[in-house]
Amino acid sequence: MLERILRFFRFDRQDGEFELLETERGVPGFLAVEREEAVLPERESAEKVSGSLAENEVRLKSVFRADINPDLILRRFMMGGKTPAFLAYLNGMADAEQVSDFILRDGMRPGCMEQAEEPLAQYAIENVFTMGEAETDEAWDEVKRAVMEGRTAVFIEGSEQAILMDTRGFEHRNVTEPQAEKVVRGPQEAFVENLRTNITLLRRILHTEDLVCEIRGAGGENGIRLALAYREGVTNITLVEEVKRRLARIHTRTVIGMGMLEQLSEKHSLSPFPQVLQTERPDRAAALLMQGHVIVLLDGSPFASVMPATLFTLMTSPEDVYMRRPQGTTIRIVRYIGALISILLPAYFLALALYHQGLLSTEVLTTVVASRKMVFAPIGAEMVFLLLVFQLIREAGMRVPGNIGQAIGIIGGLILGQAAVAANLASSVVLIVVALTGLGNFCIPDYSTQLAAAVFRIALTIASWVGGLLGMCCLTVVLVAWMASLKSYGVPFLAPFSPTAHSKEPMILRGRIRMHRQTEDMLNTREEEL
Amino acid sequence: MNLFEGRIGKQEGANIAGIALISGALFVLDIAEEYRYGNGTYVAFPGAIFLSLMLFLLLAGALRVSGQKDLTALLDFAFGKFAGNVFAALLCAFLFIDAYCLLSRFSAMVHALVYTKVTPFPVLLWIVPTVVYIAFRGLECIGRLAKCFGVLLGVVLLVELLLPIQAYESYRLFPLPVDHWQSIAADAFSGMFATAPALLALLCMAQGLQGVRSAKQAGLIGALVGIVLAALVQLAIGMTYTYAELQNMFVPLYRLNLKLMQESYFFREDKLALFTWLIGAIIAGAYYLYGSAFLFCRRWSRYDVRPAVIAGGVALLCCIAAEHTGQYRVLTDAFALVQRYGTWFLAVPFTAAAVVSLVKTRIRKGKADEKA
Repeated sequence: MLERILRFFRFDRQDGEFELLETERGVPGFLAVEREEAVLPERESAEKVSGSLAENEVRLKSVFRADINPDLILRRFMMGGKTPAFLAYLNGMADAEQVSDFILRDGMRPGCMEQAEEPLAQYAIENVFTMGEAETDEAWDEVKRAVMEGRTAVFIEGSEQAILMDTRGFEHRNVTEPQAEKVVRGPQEAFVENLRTNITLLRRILHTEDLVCEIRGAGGENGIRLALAYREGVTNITLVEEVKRRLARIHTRTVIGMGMLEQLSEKHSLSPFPQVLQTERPDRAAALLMQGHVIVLLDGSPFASVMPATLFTLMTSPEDVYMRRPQGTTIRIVRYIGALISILLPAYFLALALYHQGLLSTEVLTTVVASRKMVFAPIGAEMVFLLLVFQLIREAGMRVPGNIGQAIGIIGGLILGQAAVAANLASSVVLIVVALTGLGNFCIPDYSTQLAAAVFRIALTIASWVGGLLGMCCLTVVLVAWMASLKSYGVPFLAPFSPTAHSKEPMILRGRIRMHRQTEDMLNTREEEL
Repeated sequence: MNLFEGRIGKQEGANIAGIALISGALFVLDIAEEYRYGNGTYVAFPGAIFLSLMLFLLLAGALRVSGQKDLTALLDFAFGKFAGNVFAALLCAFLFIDAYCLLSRFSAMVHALVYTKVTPFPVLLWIVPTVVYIAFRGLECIGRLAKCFGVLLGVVLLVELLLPIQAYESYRLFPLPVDHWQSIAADAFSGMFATAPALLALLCMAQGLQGVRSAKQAGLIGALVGIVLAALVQLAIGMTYTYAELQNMFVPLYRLNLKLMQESYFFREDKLALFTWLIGAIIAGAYYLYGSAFLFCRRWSRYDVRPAVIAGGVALLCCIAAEHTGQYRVLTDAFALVQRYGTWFLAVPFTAAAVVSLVKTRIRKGKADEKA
């Protein structure tokens, strides 16, 4: 007991070479309680496919609740007219025509099993079924998963292996234009909800033999799959292992959508900044893949998660590289100025108006005072209120269908603003500040980063309301310090600015296209020059 | 740069050193005291940094020759464990005192120049927690933060010097420092208490800066930038006001910005400049606080630095708050004594440490050669 108390007061830390808390992997808790690696439960069951057809059928019916679940199709047939077999698939998930044409018709062809030899399942794949993607498996869990994914399982009497054939044929959305990352010049394709289609979209751009797509379970009990794409031999293996380790630790009820997966795999869950970049553009994902990033695609999600993501990656638009260098550089500078305006302007204006009127010229001060003459709310409350109204309009505009959403924006921006000024609920100067803030916010290309900017903006406005420029200054330093200590999958969030990397792309100024030959050395890729 | 590596590079180190040195030279050293003999701060203040740099280079050389990994190891090597502990405690205390002096000075400035209608405590409640938070996040955060703001702070400082250029008159520089060089040299030496700890802390955290060599380069660059900027600022102040005026002036650099109000179109940037310097002071304060906590943990605790940072932050807040109430004269006098005579306790032991370790290494090497 005494030993435990002593250990507690000693913070239970061993002397490290430097500071253990500086490393992402070994971050201890505040009182230095070591964060232990979760021991993953062994989820693979040892159940095997039986050699008895009847037993397999009963088990399958029981697992899929066939008595009340009409989705499961079980079809008995005689292979080659003499060997009993049955196939199983889920109605709607598998393509019934493929099942009829390439499994049942081929399987029931007379004499096809005449020269059959053990193992029967392997013989059937090689000699009977004319399916492109077919494999044998003896693990019962794998068979269940395959059936749920839309593949067809064939069981043969006497064979302790099931044949799994890819007959997936469920309905899915076609490839369409990107919704959130539109570009004027550049490809007009976006990821869809189908994992296979998304991998194909990537492979169509990247004709490199080192591109690896590892498909694995996402960790949810709903059994959804994900694809981990990276360049074998180029991407830093430590990064790949770290991504795999984090994905392997996910064990939850459901994983639906990339946003959920992102939260489950990231380290700093309280950070307003995203630690992965989500993109719906295959060209952008492919470009980052070429630079040595790791991409995760999730079945059912039309987004790719790019790891790691730094501040400069999040502030980059896919269109930057499609424009000429001066144009791209100008747009980027405007974007950063917009982001700064979006975050700092309301707080700065409030600090000047409330605490440091001496910094404003007499003309500006007179205008501010005149515009606020009849407004009853304090200027701080007015600013925070208008910022919230702006978020309100934005959310409303996003959630309602297309044209109506635009109409809400116009109504909110023009009519509501005008009416608020006329009714003395808000002053025109503050309204202009908030409108500029909103415009600046839309300059930020990434949606999650826009939301982070909104959080910072409101926090800074409140700090400025309470403490003037001192409050704003201190909170700004704290926010930058937060960014400075944030890491995305081990890569500092401010890289390649700090720590400095030799390849400065992407940074504020757009580099030469020729620089794209170089992989990002902040990722420690295996190749410095491709 | 490797994944999972929490160390900083030369650029970050140089920025930390530069910001800490300039903040120390411009805001910790008592300018009214320095002007009692006439002009000369543009020699004395950069001189303080220069002397600190010499000590730093001597220690870095000793580290390289003796093969020790950081300054605390060098102290042990030179004087043994007990004396090493004593001198490490001394440096730890000096780092804390520098953090105290800098933040106390800044909170007084912000209070006196901007927030005159409130007591100093609310001002402290903004500044000190910010410092503690940054120090709490560790050396990596301080380094990256310093790099983010380092160039900006330097540019702002230069712009502030350029804008009131019409007010500069060279005749105000008289009497020239040659007339009282002894007092200037003494001022430069005593000013080391505000500048040397920043450089020595770099050597203590040499491993966090990828080794002694990297720390040495970072310190050298930071100190050279510090010398240039400190000299420019003091020269600008000296050319704007006479030494008689400066003897009774509170924060002449701030007054320099106010000069713009009379003679330039850009007349409302004084408070903005103050808050920009405040960012520098916060970074420097966090560095000193972290350095103090790091040294303490490294020598006596062996555990997490963060609780020590929190404890140091609370102590800092209490000390500054106590000073601002004006009721604890003992505290103020004690810190004044440290400011006046502290350099001796810093320069002598650390110079001795470097010399002793060099001699020891030489003797050992000689013995090894004889055996060979």
